[in-house]
This record gives sequence, structure tokens and C-alpha cells, in this order.
Amino acid sequence: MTAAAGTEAGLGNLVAQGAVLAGRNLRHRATVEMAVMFVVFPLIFVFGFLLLFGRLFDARGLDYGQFLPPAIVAQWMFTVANTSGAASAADRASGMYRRCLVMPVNRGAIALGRIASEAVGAFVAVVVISLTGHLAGFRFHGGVLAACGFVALAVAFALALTAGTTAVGLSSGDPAAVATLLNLPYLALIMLSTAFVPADAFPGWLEPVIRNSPVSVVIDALRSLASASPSWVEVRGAVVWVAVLAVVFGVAASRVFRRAR
Amino acid sequence: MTQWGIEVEHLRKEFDGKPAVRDVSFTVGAGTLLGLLGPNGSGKTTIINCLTTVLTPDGGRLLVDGCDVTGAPEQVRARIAVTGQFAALDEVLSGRDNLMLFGRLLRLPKRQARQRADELLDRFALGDAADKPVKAYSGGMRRRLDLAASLVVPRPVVFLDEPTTGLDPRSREELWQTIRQLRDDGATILLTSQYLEEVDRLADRVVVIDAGRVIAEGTGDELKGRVGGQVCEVTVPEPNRAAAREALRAFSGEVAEHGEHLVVPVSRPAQLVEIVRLLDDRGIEIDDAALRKPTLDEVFFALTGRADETADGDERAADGDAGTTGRDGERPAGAVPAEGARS
Ligand SMILES: Nc1ncnc2c1ncn2[C@@H]1O[C@H](COP(=O)(O)OP(=O)(O)OP(=O)(O)O)[C@@H](O)[C@H]1O
Ligand SMILES: [Mg+2]
Repeated sequence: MTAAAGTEAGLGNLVAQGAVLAGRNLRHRATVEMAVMFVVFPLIFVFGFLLLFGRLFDARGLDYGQFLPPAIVAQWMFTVANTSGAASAADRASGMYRRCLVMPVNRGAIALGRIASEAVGAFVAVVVISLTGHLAGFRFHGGVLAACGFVALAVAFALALTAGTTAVGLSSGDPAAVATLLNLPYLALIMLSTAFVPADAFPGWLEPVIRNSPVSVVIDALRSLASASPSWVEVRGAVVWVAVLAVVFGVAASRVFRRAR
Repeated sequence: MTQWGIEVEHLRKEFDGKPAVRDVSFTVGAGTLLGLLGPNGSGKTTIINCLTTVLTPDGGRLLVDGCDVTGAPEQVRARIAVTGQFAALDEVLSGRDNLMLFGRLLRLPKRQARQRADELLDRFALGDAADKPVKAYSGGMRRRLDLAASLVVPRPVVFLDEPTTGLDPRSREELWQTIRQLRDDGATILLTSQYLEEVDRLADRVVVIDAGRVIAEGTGDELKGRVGGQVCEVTVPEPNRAAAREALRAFSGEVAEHGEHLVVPVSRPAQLVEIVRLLDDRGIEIDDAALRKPTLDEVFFALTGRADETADGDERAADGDAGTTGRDGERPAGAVPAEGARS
């Protein structure tokens, strides 16, 4: 009665099944709430903050229209990662994850599907925010290559964070709790960074912490990549931070992945 | 093809030092249906999880369609269909999209995946709800879709963990029909249940487990024979109950007490008359006496020599070593070296 059964081994399965799962993950993002979240919120943030602080910073000689969008990008990379962590938890709660485990689905394809769908989600968010920023005066002054670097760094940052949120999501299995829990580090890290105000706006003793926090380093590198003269040193610092996060979170995620049922 | 669809030898599995499955062995003949019967927490799901590569066993040897579960899990996964105790579906996608998703994951081309999805929706009477998201499905629809999802590509070995729990009688009957059909098509099936009636209707053979051990094995008729096929339930008002119990004990060693009812296994309907006469002879007044089919509780009582009062698996697992000696579950010496050392 049964056709010779194909196992999950092989690159063909990895790619094909990874693509199917990525498509499925993206369909979850293609709901009305998600569209609102990914398109409308960035718009509100860019123009809202600009309206609030734009003139204040103009008075200090800071071009807030150029300063703000990279921060919104970083903020949205957190959102991509956090919603992804909650989605992993939901997959455990619904049993979807378990069904994949008893099917001949390549183990790598489950991870690849997440990476691919979140990369697409992050990419779309960066493009939307950059276009919105354009209306507010944001420009890529450093040329096409630097602009591509901007997008690549932002997406890589989102994926590194996603590894961490996946570890949390898969080990918990409670999407609502995961979403709440992940908001804490997100808010703390964004507040204590150069996202919305320059580092010198913080008290002197806090300044070194703010300057060297991974979020500040990534945001400053993004700003640098959008500027007329991108600084290699700043970009390198961000690449190192993203690599460190990716390794640490990646190890945690693969550990959880091997145990989660 | 091997003689056995599933072979389980001395399976052991514990969670944080607490044994959930303690030396379970059984086989399922290729193309037959085995019913795994046991109360809550007896280890049914754990056995299925070990056989379907979800959990790694702590000991024992498991073969599915001739493939070693720990040695070649990919081979096993390519041969099994699994319907878990709880539905495992994408809640956001529609029923059709779920089936297509699983078809695509099993590498069916898109058109074929769609065709197969439509076939299954039709067969499981889900056509009307095909395009609704699963989160809008009723419990019964969800279970049917879940079973359909595991059958997208036919497999030689099928695992069904309490497939009819929560279904109304009609859906249950329909599902039984589907399961029989699967068996007739040649699949080896391991089905777990808490209902004696269910395994009785479907299974070629039955394995009864309790607290992680096999306590009986045989055909449904053989098992029921051990409880006498029927039980006599005698309703006795209070002052007489102890005396009635004593009298019935002469009749059968296995008298169970459930509230004001005393339950005795009988082997012939005529024994009802004998029981009534016996009590009457001794001047013990009763309210009622009737024959009925044994419940699972009573099968367990007959098999283990104690009532299945505690629904809590942990508790029973904890006292299982001291209190119960399964008649059929005698464990071969040396098979579980870790067990004695642990407790
Ligand atoms: N992941 C787990 N962690 C800890 N203990 C577990 C786990 N899974 C099962 N157990 C324990 O193992 C024992 C057997 O559980 P199992 O789920 O296999 O029983 P079951 O026969 O399927 O019960 P039910 O009829 O309620 O589904 C129980 O005592 C349960 O508490
Ligand atoms: Mg169970």
C-alpha cells in the first residue's frame, strides 16, 4: 500500500521543506493585525517622534529626520524577533512543532524556515521604514553599497535577536507569556541606548554603558551607513556585536531545539 | 516486510527520576490493530512518544516496520503516521491549507497536495469547513482534521493516541469505520484508549497497561473472560453491606465496593439467580441486583486485584512497586537494573 518512503535526509529536503515552512510562517505574518503592526506603527513612530522632538533637536543643530529612522529600524528588528519568539511558542502550544518532529521533516528545515521568514519580515520592515523616513527627510548619503550594508546589518541584527527569542519561545510554549517577557529586555535596551537621544543626553556615569550597549552600537553603525562618510570602525563594532549575539543565542536556540517537544 | 509492524522490548522511560514506563514489551503483527488500554497516567502517550521518535527511551529496543527507533529515527519517521492525543494543527490556516501544508512538507507537488487535501476533506466530512481557519473548528472537527493530516501520505504504521476522546457517538462510529478501513488497507495500527468498548470493537489484540507495566495481554474476548464477561452489581442498603460482602466473597474472591454497590464478576448469566438466592438464604436484604458489562475500572480491578480509585498517575506510579504485581507483567530478571537502585 505504501510507496517507498523517502526520508528527511539531504539538502533537497532542507531547502524544499525550509521554503514550505518559511512560506507558512510568512502567511501568519500576512494577517491584518500584522500588516497594521508592520506598516502603520513604523509610520506613526517616525512621524510621531519627529513631531514631538524634531524642533527641539533642530534647535540643538541635530537633523532629527536623519537621526531617527535608524532607531526605528532597530526598534522594529526587536519587534520582528519578539513576534517570532511568540510564534515559536505558539507552534509548541498548538502541537504544530510536534507534528513536524514526527514527520520526515528535515530538522534543519524547521530552523531554516524561521530564519528565512524572519529575514523577509525584517527586510520588509527596513524598506517600509526607510521609505517612510524618506518623506521625513531621511536619505542614504553614502551611496548604494552603504545602503545595502544598512539593510544587511539591520536584518542580521534581527536574525541574531530571533535566535534568542526562539530559545525563549520554544522552551516556554506559552505565546502570551513569551510576548510579555520579551518586552522587558526590549524596552530596557531601547531606552538605555542612543536610539532616541544622543549619548551625551544621559548622566555622565551612564554614558559609557549607553555608548557600548549592543543596541547603541548597531544604531550608530546604521546612522553611519546612512551618512555621507560611513565609518568602517563603527560598522565593524556593530558586526562584532551582532556576531557575538548570533553565536550566543544560536547555541542557546539549538540546545532548546534539541530538547523541546 | 517483517512479521511485526511494531516490536517493543523492555521499554523504559522515566521523567526526572519518576518511572513512567517500566519494562514494557509487546508486539503488533504487521497489518493488525493492537489496542493499548490503560487509565490516565499509565504511560500510553509516553510509549507512543518513544515509538514515534519524539522521546528518547531510557532503555529497551523499539522496532517500527523493522527499523530501529533510536538507531534510525529518520527511517522510522518516513514510515509512520501519527495522530497525537491532542490535535497538532496550524490554528491560523484553514483546514484545506493545513492539509496542503503537510502534503507539501512531504514533498507532494502542489497540485497533488491540493487534490489529496480535497479527497481527505471529503472523506472526513470537512468539505463545508474547508476554508475556515482551524481556530473556528469544533473539537470533533479538529480531531477529524488531525487524523486526516496524518494520512496525507499513506504509511505502513499508524499511531492513534485516544483518537475518539471528545467525539460524539456518531463521529466516534464514523471514526471507527475509518480506522477499520485503514487496517483493511494493510496498515499496522497501534491505538490507545481508555475505553474497553473501543478496543473491543476495533482491536485484534489488546495490551492492558497500568502504572507503566503490562498487566494483561490477549484478545478482547480473552480479557473479558478473565472478568467473567459480565459483572453482577448488587445494591445493598447500609446495615447489611458487610454481611453481603462476606457472603459474596464465598462466591468470588474479587468483590469490589462502589458506594452502596457491590460488584462481582460472573461467568454465566444464571449466576445472577444464584447470587440472589444465596443472599436471600442468609437473610440479607438487598435493593437491587443486575447484570451488566464490566467497566474498565472492573477490568482493572480483576486484573490488578485493586480498584482504580486514584486517577493520579504519579501516585500510583509511586506505590506501584510495593502494591501491584501484574499477573502477566512479570519482569524478566535483569531487564531493569536501574529500577531497584532508584527507589
Ligand atoms: N513530559 C513529562 N514530564 C514529566 N512527567 C511526565 C511527562 N509526560 C508524562 N509524564 C508522566 O508519566 C506518566 C505517564 O504519562 P502518559 O502521558 O504517558 O500517560 P497516559 O497513559 O497517556 O495518560 P492519559 O490517559 O491521561 O493520556 C504520568 O505519571 C505522567 O505524569
Ligand atoms: Mg495520553
